Amino acid sequence: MRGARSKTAVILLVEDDPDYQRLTKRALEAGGIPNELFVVDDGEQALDYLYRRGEFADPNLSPRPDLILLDLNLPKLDGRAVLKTIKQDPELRRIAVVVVSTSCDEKDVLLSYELGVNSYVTKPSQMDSFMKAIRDLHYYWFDVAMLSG
Amino acid sequence: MPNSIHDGASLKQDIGREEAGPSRHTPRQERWYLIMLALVVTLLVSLYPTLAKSPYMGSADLHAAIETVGALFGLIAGFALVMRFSTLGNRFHLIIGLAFFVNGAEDLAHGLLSFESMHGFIGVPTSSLVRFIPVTYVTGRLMLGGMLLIAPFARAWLKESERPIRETVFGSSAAIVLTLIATFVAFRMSLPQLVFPERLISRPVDFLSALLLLMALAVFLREYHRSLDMLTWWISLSIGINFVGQLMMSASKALYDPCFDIAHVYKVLGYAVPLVGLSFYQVAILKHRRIALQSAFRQAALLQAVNKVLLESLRCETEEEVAKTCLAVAQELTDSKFGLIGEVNEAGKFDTIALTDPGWDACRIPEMAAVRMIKDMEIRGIYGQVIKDERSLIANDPASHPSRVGMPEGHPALISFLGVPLKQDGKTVGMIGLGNNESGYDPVDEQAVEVLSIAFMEALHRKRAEVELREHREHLKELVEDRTAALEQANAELEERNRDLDEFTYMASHDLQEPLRKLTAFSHLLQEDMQKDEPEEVSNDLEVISSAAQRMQTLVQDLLVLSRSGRQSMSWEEVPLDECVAQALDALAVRVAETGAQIRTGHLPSVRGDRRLLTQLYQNLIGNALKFHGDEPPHIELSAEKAGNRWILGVADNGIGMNPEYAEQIFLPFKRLHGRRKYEGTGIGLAICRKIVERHGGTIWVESEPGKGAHFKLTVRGQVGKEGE
Repeated sequence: MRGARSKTAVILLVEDDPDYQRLTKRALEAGGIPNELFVVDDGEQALDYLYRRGEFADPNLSPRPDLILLDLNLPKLDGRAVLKTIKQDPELRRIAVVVVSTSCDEKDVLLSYELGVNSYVTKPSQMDSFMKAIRDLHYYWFDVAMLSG
Repeated sequence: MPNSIHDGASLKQDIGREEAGPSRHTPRQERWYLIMLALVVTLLVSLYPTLAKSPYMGSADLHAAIETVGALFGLIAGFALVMRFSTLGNRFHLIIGLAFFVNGAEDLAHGLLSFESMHGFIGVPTSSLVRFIPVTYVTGRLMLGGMLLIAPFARAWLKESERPIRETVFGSSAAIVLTLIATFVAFRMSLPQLVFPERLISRPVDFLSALLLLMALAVFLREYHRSLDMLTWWISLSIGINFVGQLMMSASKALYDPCFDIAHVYKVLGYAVPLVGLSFYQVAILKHRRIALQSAFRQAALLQAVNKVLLESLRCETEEEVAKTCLAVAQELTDSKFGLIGEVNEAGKFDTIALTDPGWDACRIPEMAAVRMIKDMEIRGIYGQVIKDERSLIANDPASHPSRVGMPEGHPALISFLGVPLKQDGKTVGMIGLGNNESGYDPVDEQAVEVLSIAFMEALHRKRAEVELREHREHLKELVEDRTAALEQANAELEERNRDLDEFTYMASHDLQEPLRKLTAFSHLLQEDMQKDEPEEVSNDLEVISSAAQRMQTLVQDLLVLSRSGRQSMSWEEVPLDECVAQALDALAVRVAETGAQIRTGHLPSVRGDRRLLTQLYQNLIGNALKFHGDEPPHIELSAEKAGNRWILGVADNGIGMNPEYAEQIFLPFKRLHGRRKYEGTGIGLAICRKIVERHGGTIWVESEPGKGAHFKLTVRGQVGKEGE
């Protein structure tokens, strides 16, 4: 954890749908979570961001996230592949990953946990429940911060 | 054997006679032989009146000489018969032989003593000679008659000897001892008066001997009638002559009168006759042995031939080979130059199954004509008669055979012919024909080929059953393989369809739910924003809601198209692709104009397929190219190139391209490579393309690199059409 941002969570949102990007932002604001949100559109960009490749080379502009909100169905590189890469990397595996997916398919849930996801949240259709999920993430993040801090 | 036709019946008679033995007469011969015997006896008896009146008188020396010669004949005949027994073991011969031998010995003594009485060579006292001479004579005569009389009975009582040599020695010794005893007893007895010149039967003892011989003759003739044995006849003849001799003797009034001398001559004749008979007998046996040997050789050859047919047919692959093997064997067995085997076909004509190679060589009929002829031949002529009569036929002079119809030009000249029908369940189904044995065919050849034909039919049946079984098995195997393959394919298709369906369901639920969730989520958000009175957010929310609804509609429409392109019935027709392209461009006209795209179309052929689907295909591919353009306006090229007998159709663009590793997943439904913010779309278009291409029996793929455009290529089933030539 970087001291300067100890109260601010750095969150990487991997989501191709701009509407959901907006929805997530609003949910995070509404949940009162101090955060710094970075958004990428697809799986390839997500890995580029994490490995600081190409346009994400500058560590100040692309800080290592504390939490990754990952959609599963992404263009190009799929969310599952991204998750797998993260959880097999000794550096990246410590980052908390929460899958946020429209899929409530058991297969996806099980696979995600097998790959080492920290939490799995179904993209809710009700604003309330989505907010609740984000708040859960907040607690979660704090727990992690406290423990690791 | 000119123009002789044999059948099986006469052959059987031949065999029957041979089986009866080499030295047997036939019943017909018996009659003639009996008549002959009667004639001889009558002839000899008929001399009596002449002799009775004749003034002839012989001499003591002449009598002694005849007696001695006759005795030697008797000894030889006896010896020969005994020797015969010692080799063959028939006790009948032993007793007859000993009878002659003993009698010969007595006669020899009688003859030599007669010389002695006249010349006194060794000085035997006259008193002894006077007794000895008649005693030896009478004993010999009576013993001959008696022993011959019992011989046939002895034959009935005694079995064949197992130790003939021992019995020869024993029997001969016994006979000699018996003779000596009989002679000695007779010598000791006071001799009755032997000659009564005043009576008709002047010598009663000789008449007694004649009666014994007559009885023996009767017994022998009965035996001859039973056995028809040649030698028995000759012995009977001998007894008959001896009987006449004794009759003559019994009528002799004085020593050396005509009856006396002729009786002695008859005795010599009577002894000689068995020797003649033995010679004939020997000849008959030798002849029989030669025939038996020949027959044995032929039988052995036939057996070998049957074996060969049965064994070699095991190695044959086809029934033609079996027939060929059989024919070669039959030809060798009968010394034929050529042959054929054929069968009667369903149309009642004759099909050749096999021709021996020499037959082909000898046949100079032009090949096509010959081939035509050896199948479907009319059943006629000499070979036709074999099939019609259903029995074997020998034609050793085929040119003058009544069934002859002549031969086609080029057929090898036929000098002799043997045809044997092939029978199956008693029905004639074909024929083995053999030709040109140089000395003509005989019933033995015929019989051999008949036997061979049975072996051949057996082998042929076996081969046919085997072939049928093999074909059946292979057919079954093929059937099972076909079915299995069909099932496996059906199974694979089903599995793939299932997988497709699974994936589709998953993707559909995911992608269809997404706008729905968005609708509800943003509806709530809208509510909130309206309460907070934030008009900008409200309008934003409304926009999202509207676009989500729009997207939902597009998705449903695209899904419908996908579903239709996969299920809807297809029409198969010749479709000119340029017409499809024109139609597709029509539909895309607005977007083409918006993007300022340049589209170049090469020569496109006609292919077999569904016009509507192919148009949809081009529309999607061109639409795709219009969508993923780079900085420059899209430049699209439509091509068609020949690869073997297929067309490879291409749609190339200068757009953003893609990483080759995504080249496969872009054809899956709902798969997108780009965020929706950049490129709008449902991710169904290319899935539709794949479905259409697959329904046309082809494949679709893409060749691309990021930033270098994409080249979609596809094949459709069907030959390269005329337009491509």
